[in-house]
Amino acid sequence: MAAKAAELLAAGAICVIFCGVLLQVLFNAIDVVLQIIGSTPLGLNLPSYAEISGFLLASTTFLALAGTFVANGHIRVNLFVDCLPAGVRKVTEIFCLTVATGITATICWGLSQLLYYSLKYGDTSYGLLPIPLWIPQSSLFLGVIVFLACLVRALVLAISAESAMSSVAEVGEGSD
Amino acid sequence: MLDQFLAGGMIVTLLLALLASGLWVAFALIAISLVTIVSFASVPLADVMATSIWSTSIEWALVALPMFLWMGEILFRCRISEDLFDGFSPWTSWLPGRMLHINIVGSGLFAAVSGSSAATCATVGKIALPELRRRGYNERIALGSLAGSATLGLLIPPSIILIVYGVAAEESIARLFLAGVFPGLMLIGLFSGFVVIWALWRRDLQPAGDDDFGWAERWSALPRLMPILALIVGVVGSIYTGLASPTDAAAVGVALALLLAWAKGLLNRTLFIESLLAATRTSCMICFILAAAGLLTTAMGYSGLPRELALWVGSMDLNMFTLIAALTLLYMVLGCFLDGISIVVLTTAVILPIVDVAGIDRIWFGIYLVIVVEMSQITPPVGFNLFVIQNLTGANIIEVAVAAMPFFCLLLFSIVLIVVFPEVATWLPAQISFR
Repeated sequence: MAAKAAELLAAGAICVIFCGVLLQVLFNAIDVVLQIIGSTPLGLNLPSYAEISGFLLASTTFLALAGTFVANGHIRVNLFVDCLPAGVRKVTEIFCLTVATGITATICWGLSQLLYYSLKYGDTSYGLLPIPLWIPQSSLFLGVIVFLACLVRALVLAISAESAMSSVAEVGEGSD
Repeated sequence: MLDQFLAGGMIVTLLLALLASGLWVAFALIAISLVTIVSFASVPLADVMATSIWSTSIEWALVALPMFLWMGEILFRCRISEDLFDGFSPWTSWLPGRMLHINIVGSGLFAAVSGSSAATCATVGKIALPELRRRGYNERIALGSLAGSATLGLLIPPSIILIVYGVAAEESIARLFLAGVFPGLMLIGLFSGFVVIWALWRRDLQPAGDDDFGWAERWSALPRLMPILALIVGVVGSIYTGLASPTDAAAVGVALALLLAWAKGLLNRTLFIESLLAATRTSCMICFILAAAGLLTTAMGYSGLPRELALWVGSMDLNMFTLIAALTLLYMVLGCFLDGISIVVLTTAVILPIVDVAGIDRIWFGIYLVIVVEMSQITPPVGFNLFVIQNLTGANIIEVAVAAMPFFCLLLFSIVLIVVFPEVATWLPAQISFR
């Protein structure tokens, strides 16, 4: 649910980037036309549009992490794992999810530090329009939190499926 | 020195083990980066990681990526394939091999508006393969030529792989795009030439010619190609003339693609949302890997391993041909298991220092790298084009791979060509100055 919402936010951010860049292209085109017909260019500019697009892109990437994960969109090498028997594959899946969760938790911690210091020192971007860095950074942070929740959920599901499997197996053995 | 190599060997082994265990590529890259940083430097891990990921993710040049992906996704849903087939087939009837050339030129044309090999393969194949089969063309050459020429999606700009390489290697994406033009045309020529020779050689396998067209039909079919030609001219032309940055051109491309969908009466809520979400996910997947690769580059900087490797390779005093031959062999093995994006980011983190020491032009190397990645698209067991064609036709992956073998060899031959004549790639970007 949260993954879906974050993903829609990410998609929205792509639309905003698209509109921004297109508007800037339009401004440039107006200037080119004005130059051709011999009048002075207006020099219209979206302030810091390259910088803002970069921030929006980073937000998009991180907000979409969870949704992409749910949609099985992150690439991995399945070739060898697919050859393993189902029991072993469960173990490798739990291993992968554990590593992914650990790393994501570390990223989460690191980003929270980044966010904390940006807020504390009031860091802004260097462009014409000084944007407080905590604004884009908090959307990255939000995305990673949702992703972390997704991974933990998947890990718990994988482990409980595993124990359910083994308890079924035990029951099966017991009834023999 | 020996310790360094031991450490390097262990890191590579760990990476391969993690990848083989099915760990997501981005996480595998981050994991070995963390291990490397811990073993070579005492810095606060989480902080280094967050800073590195942040600074890689906000790259302006990378903004072109979701735009081109979105444009490709819209066009993919626009039934472009019918237009390509009907518009182009009358023009092929005079060439030996006739409609087989649709696979090649159709792929080349679609590649010029899309950055992905799999999308090119699926789009062109959806119409071309059933039509070729219905008209009795040899199945093997039909499958092989599609699998081979769809890889042009990677080389002919706009190219997702070249954007990834440009961002990771800090090279101008516009220059890389320009460098891809002539090698792309050269490959179209090689592929078409092969089909012509094959058709003349195996006359017994050619279907009876029920598809002869007159000039009137040719000209009247041409308007079907107009939308896609307009897109190519609008998007790619604006980059080539230096009027727009790749990102600007990509946004214009999305607008034109939406316009095209609207003109065809296909633009609705579903198409818009589906294409946008597909682009969002692919963009997220690639950008996350790039962020991980940024961290890997930082980690490799701490370890000094790539520098040592470069010095060692430099001390062997290999000539460029030997080096490229060795690298090509390495990439052919890697390409059997890894996807193109991973190959590119691993390369920029580890191999690029060697390339610099050997005095190889980075733009040229980018084109070389794309051709190697193209080869990996049609080698089993993990070749994306093979999967796409398997889905389209039900043909077995190995069957398709065997059918694509001649085209694999042609790609290999094209590497020889660009090594001997590097100007094929480097001439055009040198001609044009950018704002």
